[in-house]
Amino acid sequence: MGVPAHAASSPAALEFTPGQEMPVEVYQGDRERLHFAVRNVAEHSITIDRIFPRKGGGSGSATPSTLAPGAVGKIELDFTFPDALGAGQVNFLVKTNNPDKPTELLGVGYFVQSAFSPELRLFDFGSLHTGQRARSTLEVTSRLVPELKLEKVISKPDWLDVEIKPSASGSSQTQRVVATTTSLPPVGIVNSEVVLKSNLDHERPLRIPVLLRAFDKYAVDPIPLSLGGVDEGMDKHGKLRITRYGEGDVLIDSVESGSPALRTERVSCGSGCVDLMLTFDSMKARGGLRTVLKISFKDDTQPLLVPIDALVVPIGVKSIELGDLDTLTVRGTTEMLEPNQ
Amino acid sequence: MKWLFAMAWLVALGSASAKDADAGIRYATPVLHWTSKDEKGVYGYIIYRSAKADGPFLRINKRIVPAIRPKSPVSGEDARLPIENRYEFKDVSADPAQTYYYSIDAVSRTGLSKQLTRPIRREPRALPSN
Repeated sequence: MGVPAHAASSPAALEFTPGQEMPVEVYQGDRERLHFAVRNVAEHSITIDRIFPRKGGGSGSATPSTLAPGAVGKIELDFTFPDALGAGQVNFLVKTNNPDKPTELLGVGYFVQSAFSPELRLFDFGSLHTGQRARSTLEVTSRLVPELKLEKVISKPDWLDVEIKPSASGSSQTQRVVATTTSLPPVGIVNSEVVLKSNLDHERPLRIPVLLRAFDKYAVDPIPLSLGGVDEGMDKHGKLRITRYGEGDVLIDSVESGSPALRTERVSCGSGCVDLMLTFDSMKARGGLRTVLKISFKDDTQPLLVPIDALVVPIGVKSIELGDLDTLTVRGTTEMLEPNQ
Repeated sequence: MKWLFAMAWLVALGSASAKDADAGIRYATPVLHWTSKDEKGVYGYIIYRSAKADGPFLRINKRIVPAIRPKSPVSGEDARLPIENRYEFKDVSADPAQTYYYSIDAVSRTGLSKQLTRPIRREPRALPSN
């Protein structure tokens, strides 16, 4: 797990020895102080000027900053670990006055855990039209404390009401989080987050992503649309279904594909329903497709914007469709609410 | 993100060292043993303990019990055979005179957990006096 990591070019002048077990095991978003011993293995004195992570928020300091040949000093690193779960490594750059090797790399291997289960969680409200409301319920457990308390809402979107309730099972380690939409956010794909304060050590917050597709009169599915891999020179087809909320026909004014490689054709799929049949011509977009399809309506000022992508695979390159990558995400149980609820 | 996790496991609660209890009887420290097969993608194991069957269960190992990695890449005929690893966890923080329930989660290298065992009851075991 890469400790210590040295730049490959010239031999390292500094040797780092961790002062804690490696890899460092942390919880999402934890900020930790890490200690290393540093030894000057060069034949001349070295002064450490600055220590900082290559990516992310953090800092470092060396005591003393100047080391005689063979001398050992201390390095303290302060780093906020990312929310991404699993194994990773952060590289700290150690800037010195050594002309042979002015930058040394100090690699810190880590493993990020979730303090809560499910580890991957989501309030997914699906598609909502103007005037519709929905409620999503998610049970969250932590086995780091005998009694989990979600004490208050730190942040949430304005259009969402969040309540914390006891678990249906009666378990003291589980809490139920109920999120209810109060109004409709701006039309389109909405990605947001609910953050709750917990009684865990370091007040580790519970973060629940929120996903919603907000529509006015018309809805489109799927959004976004990925056409996946397309063999170079071939066409790939896809379909977008447009449905009208309430009575009436789908009155499309115009469809702008945003790319000469993407053709569209309208096909009726019943009352209040139109399928947009898409054809992607890979000859016209050799690098792939990344566009936003704009569908305008005669009786709605709000157009639908659908991100569409495709990857052109050169001949002879084997590609594998990975399918749905978030099958392990636990979604809250979502119900549509009647107007009086 | 897909975590393919094939594992055959066996948990046995044995005993290792001993502690003196108040009554002068010596009890064995709880020790958990488990065996895994084909633990591809596993980072390690988390142990939970409770004094009651229905919990609350609390994590007792501060650091994850690391999965054993093969010392060298397995190739040829051997590559088809599942690698069997044996694990042992000594619960030194337990009161050896008390009954406990234990469960074990496996944690993937992508940070996702999966329960390996239903809670298993462990009775105090008196050591022979000598």
